[in-house]
Amino acid sequence: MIMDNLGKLGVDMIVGIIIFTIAFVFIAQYVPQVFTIERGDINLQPIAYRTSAILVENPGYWTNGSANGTDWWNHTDASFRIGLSSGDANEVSYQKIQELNSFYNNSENYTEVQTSFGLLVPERTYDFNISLQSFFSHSSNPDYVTHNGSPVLLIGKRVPDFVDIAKYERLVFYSVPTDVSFISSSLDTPNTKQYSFNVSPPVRSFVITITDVNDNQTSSNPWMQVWFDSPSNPYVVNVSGENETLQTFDITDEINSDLLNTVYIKLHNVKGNIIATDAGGYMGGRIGAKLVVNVW
Amino acid sequence: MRMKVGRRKFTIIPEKDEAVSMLMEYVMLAGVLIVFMFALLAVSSGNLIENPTKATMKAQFMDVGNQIANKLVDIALIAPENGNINVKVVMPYTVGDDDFKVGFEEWNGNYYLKVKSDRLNRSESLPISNLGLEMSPEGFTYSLSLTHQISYSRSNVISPTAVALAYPTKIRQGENVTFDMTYSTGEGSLWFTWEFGDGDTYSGNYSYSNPLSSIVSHGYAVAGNYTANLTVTDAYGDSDTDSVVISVEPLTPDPFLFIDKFIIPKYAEPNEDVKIMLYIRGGGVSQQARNVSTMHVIDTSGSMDPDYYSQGWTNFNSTTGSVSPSKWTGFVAVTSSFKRMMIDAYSTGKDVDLWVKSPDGDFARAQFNIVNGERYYVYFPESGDWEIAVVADYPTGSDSVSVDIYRKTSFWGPWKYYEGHNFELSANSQVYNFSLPSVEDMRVDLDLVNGTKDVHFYVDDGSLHGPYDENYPFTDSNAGGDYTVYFVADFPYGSQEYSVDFDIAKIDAAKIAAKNFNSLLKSGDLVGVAYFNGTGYWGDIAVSEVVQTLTSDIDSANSSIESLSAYGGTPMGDGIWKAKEELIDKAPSGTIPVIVLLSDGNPTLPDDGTAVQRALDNATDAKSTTIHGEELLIYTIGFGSDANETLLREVATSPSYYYYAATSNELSDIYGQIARDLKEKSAENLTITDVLPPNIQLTSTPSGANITTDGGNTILRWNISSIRINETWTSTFYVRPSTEGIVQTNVFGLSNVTYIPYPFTGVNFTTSTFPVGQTTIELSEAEQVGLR
Repeated sequence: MIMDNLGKLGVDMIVGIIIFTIAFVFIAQYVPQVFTIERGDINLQPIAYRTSAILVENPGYWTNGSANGTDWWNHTDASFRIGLSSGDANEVSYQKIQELNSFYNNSENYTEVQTSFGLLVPERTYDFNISLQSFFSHSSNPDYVTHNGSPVLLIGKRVPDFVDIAKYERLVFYSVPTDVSFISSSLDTPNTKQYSFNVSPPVRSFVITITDVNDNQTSSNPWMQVWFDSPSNPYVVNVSGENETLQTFDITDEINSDLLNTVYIKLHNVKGNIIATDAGGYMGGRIGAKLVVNVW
Repeated sequence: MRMKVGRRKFTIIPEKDEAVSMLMEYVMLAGVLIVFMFALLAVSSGNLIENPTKATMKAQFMDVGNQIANKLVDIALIAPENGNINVKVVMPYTVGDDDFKVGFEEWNGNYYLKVKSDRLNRSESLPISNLGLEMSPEGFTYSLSLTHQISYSRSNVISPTAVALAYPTKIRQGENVTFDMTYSTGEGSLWFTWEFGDGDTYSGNYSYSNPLSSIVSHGYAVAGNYTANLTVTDAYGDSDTDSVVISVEPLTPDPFLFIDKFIIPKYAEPNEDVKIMLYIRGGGVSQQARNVSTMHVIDTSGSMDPDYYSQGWTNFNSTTGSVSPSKWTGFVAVTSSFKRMMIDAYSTGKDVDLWVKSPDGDFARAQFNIVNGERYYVYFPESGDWEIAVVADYPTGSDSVSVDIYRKTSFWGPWKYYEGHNFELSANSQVYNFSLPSVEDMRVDLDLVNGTKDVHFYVDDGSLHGPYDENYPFTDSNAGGDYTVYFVADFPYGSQEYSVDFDIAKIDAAKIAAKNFNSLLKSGDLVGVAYFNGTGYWGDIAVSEVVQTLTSDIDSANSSIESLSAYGGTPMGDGIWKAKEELIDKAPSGTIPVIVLLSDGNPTLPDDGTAVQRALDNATDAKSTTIHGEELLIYTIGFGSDANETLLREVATSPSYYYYAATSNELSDIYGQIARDLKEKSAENLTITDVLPPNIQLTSTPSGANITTDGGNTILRWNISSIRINETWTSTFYVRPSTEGIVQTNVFGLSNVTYIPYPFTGVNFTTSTFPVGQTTIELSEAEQVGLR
């Protein structure tokens, strides 16, 4: 400390130290938040994972102490856990989805569903939002898959904007795609036959699957032609021979881009089926969607 | 400090004593600083130590808890029905210098994970996706433990299911009931105990390889109703019980039908198939008389008689055995002085055979026959001990036997007696006795087994015939009575196995069997006899006759059967026609008209190629015939390997009315069985219906069932013409319940059996309903998950 004869510097010092101390305390208060702010949704992520895994990999469970089973929707008065799996992992049963919808919607059983997922612990409660969305859906513009005009699955509270949220997505397939199809027709032609289907684009999935040759009457080469609206339109699909014909044709994009109304399919000596659905997209030979679980 | 006063510059200069205020200033400054430092410390211990520790602890606790919870969910998703999973868990020893504890806790019936530091009294709770519902989470671990682990175990034991069956369930006192537990199931070896209800018990081990050994017979001495309890215990010590009620009656009951239904297992998991068995058994007492009018239709074509056809034999009886010789052995010491040697072996009357073995091991049969014996002759015999063996080739008794050895010491010199042996040799034959009914032809045919040594046999039918061997069978005509066969070894060393067939003509076997059938008939039954064959030089003129019209005189019918003889071709269709006409003409009301057709070959007459078709047409016509309201039944029997089984199956009322006999005994058994079948029906025109409710899905198609659906119900229906006393009908199929909990597998009342009961007159159907089979569909318990 440098002192002059006037004794003035001591007051400056006090003022400086006070300013420093106030600044230090002010900054130090933020130190704990350094640990917590970035942690918020990391802690939630495993819970979202667990909820989604149980939903898509487990058929569900109920028990009343003396009996138990997997048809939880018939035993909602007992202790139960909801599962949507048809038995195989990632393969969901539309029937179970409907049961979950009706259980949730009919009596506003938000807390019951929360309990079923085990989202209640003594210190806190986890909120959820569970939905089935298309493969290309994203958070800023969610695209819920539908059947008969209403979302296939959309339960839970509205996802809030300004809290920590964990989102987990699982790709799932419908165990019986015809359950969620607005067109589900089998093709079986021992000779040549023409089918026509009315569609109103956009559709989420329009798939023609040719599984086998039908040579009940003739064993001539199978072939298939697909065109839209008018015979004068060019073929969208024009294949012949077993190698070209025996496969799956996903003409969803063609239908959606042309905004057309009628699909004509002319077939010869083949067996197969047509699935058109808004409940999911075609992927890997099956109709599927994204199960999205938000927890906060 | 500066002050301006007037125009003069005036400056106050601190004096020396102001230095005192400098000291005070230090003291004040130090005091203020100390206060600030305390304030700073107070703030920073909260903000720099406690709050960061809390935040870090929360984050670490959440990490540890989430790690465990995620692993729990993963375990639950792959949880095996039987087995263990051990998963390692890692966590820091301390968080913020403090150790902690992780464990499961229960709150409002739900389990969750609690991570807690006791010293700082801080904890975090983590949800575990409601897994506590089917798992029983338990245990805890301390962060200071060296290792941490989640261990999962589940042992899913299939409970045993006891199925108690008994037949008949209605008996007369003193009769036996067969108790059958072989439809019971369980894990590992099954131990079962029957408590028969009369104080007696039986315990045993179920043998999977020999189920019949677990079927128990028990008789009741006193009339009444008894509940027999079956307890089945599996390898894990779990047990199940089932019971069956036995009604013991003092009087002869009418034939009746016992029906039941079993569900296996009683507890099943969702999406698991459940086995359903429908069980119907004819009950009653087999001696209950039912009157029948039977026409024997016997194929008497030439192929039934070995006089005309080499395959006309059929086996009546057979035996096997092994013989070893009755023999004497001795030695002769041959020296170089022997230029020639001759050995004679002979008896006083019986047949003896001679073998010799040279010192170098060569073995030879005597070359020459002499009176009552044989002679061996050799040039320049090798020096050394020659072995001599004499074998008794006779079936009985004994004889004095001599062995004389001669030699020549020079090539041209005379024979000189060298030495001799005398001994008694007794027969050593295997003896077989059998009785034969009176037959046209019989044959005893020997075959050697595992070797080619000579075996002779002799047949004694009052006088002794023989020897015969495998190339020369014994045959006899118009035979019958008691026979003794002796088997004799005609070789010196070792033993020889053999088998012997005692054959008779097929026509004889047919007669024996038909008479056996007749012997089972009772007063009130009628029997007639028809035959079909060919006549003329070539045997190609079809003949078919009724040689015995329907009669209640069994002796007369047997005489008619005896009179049959075989010749010529096979006009089977004509035989069927004649028998049918006879039944239409003569079968009285209240008897069941029956044709029992026996044939050993293909229809050949008429020889224009229509013989088979005519047999089929006439059979179809006969089967559609009803006489006094009773349907005409045709039993067919294919006899021997030449029988046209396909045809006979079509000729029969149904394929189950066809039988095949290879031997005479089988033929007699079949005739006996047909007689009992006819007289032992428990129920007829059965319609068995099992109605599965909509929540029961059929996963396997039972054989013979007609399956329809109605209003969501699946209806299984079988039609059976009849069930005999002690006959069992079962059908087994699998279903899968689509709902859980206690599931009823059939609709009560609609699942039933309708049938015409004894005495089968008129069309009054009786309906018996199946019991409702229940099974419980649920996940098996016993999942356990622990943390340590």
